Amino acid sequence: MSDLRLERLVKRYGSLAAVDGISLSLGEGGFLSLVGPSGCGKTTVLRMVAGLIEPDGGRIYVGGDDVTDVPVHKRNLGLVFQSYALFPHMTVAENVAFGLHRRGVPRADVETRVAKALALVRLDGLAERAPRQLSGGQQQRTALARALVVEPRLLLLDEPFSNLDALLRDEMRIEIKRLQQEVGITTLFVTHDQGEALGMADQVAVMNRGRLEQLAAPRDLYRAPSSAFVAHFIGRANLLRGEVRGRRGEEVTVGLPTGAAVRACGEIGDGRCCVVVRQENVRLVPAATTADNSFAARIVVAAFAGATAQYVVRLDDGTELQVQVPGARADLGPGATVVAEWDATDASVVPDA
Amino acid sequence: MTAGLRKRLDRNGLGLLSPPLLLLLVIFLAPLLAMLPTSFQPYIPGKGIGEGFTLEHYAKALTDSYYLEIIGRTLALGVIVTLTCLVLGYPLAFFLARTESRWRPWLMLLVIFPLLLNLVVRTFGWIALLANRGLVNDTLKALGLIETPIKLLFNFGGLLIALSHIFLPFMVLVLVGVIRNLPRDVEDAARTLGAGWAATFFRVTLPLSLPGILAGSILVFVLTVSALVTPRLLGGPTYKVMSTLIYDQFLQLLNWPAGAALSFILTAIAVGLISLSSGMARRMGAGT
Repeated sequence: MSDLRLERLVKRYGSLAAVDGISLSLGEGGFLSLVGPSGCGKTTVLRMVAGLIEPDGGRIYVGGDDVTDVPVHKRNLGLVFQSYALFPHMTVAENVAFGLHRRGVPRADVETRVAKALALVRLDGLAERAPRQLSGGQQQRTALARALVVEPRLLLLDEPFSNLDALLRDEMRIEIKRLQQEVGITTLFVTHDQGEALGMADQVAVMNRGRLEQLAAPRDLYRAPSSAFVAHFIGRANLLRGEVRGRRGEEVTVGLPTGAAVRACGEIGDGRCCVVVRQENVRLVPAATTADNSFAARIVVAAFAGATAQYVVRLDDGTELQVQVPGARADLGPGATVVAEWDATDASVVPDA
Repeated sequence: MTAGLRKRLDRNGLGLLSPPLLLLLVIFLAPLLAMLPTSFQPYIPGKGIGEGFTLEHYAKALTDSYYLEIIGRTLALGVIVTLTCLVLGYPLAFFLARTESRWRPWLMLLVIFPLLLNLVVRTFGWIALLANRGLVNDTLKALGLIETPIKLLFNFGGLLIALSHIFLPFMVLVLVGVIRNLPRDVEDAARTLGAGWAATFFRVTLPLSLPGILAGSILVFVLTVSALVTPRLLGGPTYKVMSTLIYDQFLQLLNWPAGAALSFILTAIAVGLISLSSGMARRMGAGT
């Protein structure tokens, strides 16, 4: 097993830089999610690591070796495709054995290793099936077994869950997480789903327009986003744009264009900024209390979703906020007047991009 | 799926298909079957079709060395033209399917272009090229490569060249469609698993394009063994294949029974070869 390091990786298509100088590193046995909106270049990064796309600049190191100029078939990486990309003309066992045969593994060893890999993904008994006879989840497991059986230096996962239905997706998420821990393989996981990214990985890299916005552990990323983009992309936080008015210790007072003032925490220079308020940190109460931020508001939309309920509230100055409350306490209907409150310690400030 | 459900679906499918199926049967099978009794009737020279039942036309075609040679020649021509088209057509189709050149539509048009020309014109073109004093022989002589002209007309070589040229577009068109639809991810997967380009091609790309190879080969084979105009013009009156032989039996000798018998033999051989190759391809894993 080995670590992965990218140095100022660049890929251009015409005048457009799909990947614009990405540098990151991933420790041995680590699990890194590369997340971002579609077209942000995350899949291009993964395909460059795999060797399927040639970078226009920068270097790729796997386990300290520069593999930038090593052809795909000599990189010894395991890649699981969004489409699974199983060989339709081979059985499950033949699919899994493919990489071993290419490496000249003796026939007897191939059999035992294939059996072991299939047992690992709990597909024993389906070895002689054709891929088209398998369910989506089983195809996914086959693809995983095929990638892992060759003991690759890195496991690359390209949106592996997007073709699965919701229930199966949750199941496979846990399955892959379990496998990754069991095998202890360094993993690069590409997804557009922020929930998946946070839940699977121990490091999350957020990409936007070919650039790395932030690289942090899931908790830190959620608690302390470094930009308005990250704050919104991860957890769809409320963003209030304004200007720094004053400071007292950790606390910053931000003046909004509507004239209202908001108190938040964070380090920031003077000038324009953005206050980040997480949906679940806003409380809807009947009357104002002594909270740092307190605004009269009216419910615009109420949507009950089981464990949680989603509200859209409009403040008196016209600003709309997304609010998430526990479903058990969701008894407000549209038109109800409330007070929206949150503590200064629950809001952070980031530069306005 | 339970056996009962499958049976019901099969029956429903057949029920839906039956009106067009019936039409196809009437249009294609009925005229063919109408000739079947004729092939068992005696032929009386000067008079035409006689009364009675005889196997003599079949027996003669399958024992007479003259007929056997023509049957063998036709099949050899069919197989070799098919292989030639496949070997020449696959790389071309692969290129056309995979190129990202903006000239792709024009290159495709170039492949189809020969089909827009009249078959007789194309065949005469080959006569001009292949004749003893034709372009090919004159060029070779001028270059000093040969002393006497190579005989390229009225023999196997000439037919092979001309028929391969005429049927190549069919092979290419079928293959382009199939190769374009091959999932690229699957080839990428093979490469990430350690297969170089050769292993990727022979283990993945080629097996997956087998259905296209089969379809294109059957098409070219059937077209070749049933081609009439080109063998007629390039083979001359003496170098015969099955189709020209059948044509002569029907229209020159008015020996309909013998012509019909030969037609059925040709059909039977073609159907036999096609089902044999389909079975082979299925065993090789094309049945996806």
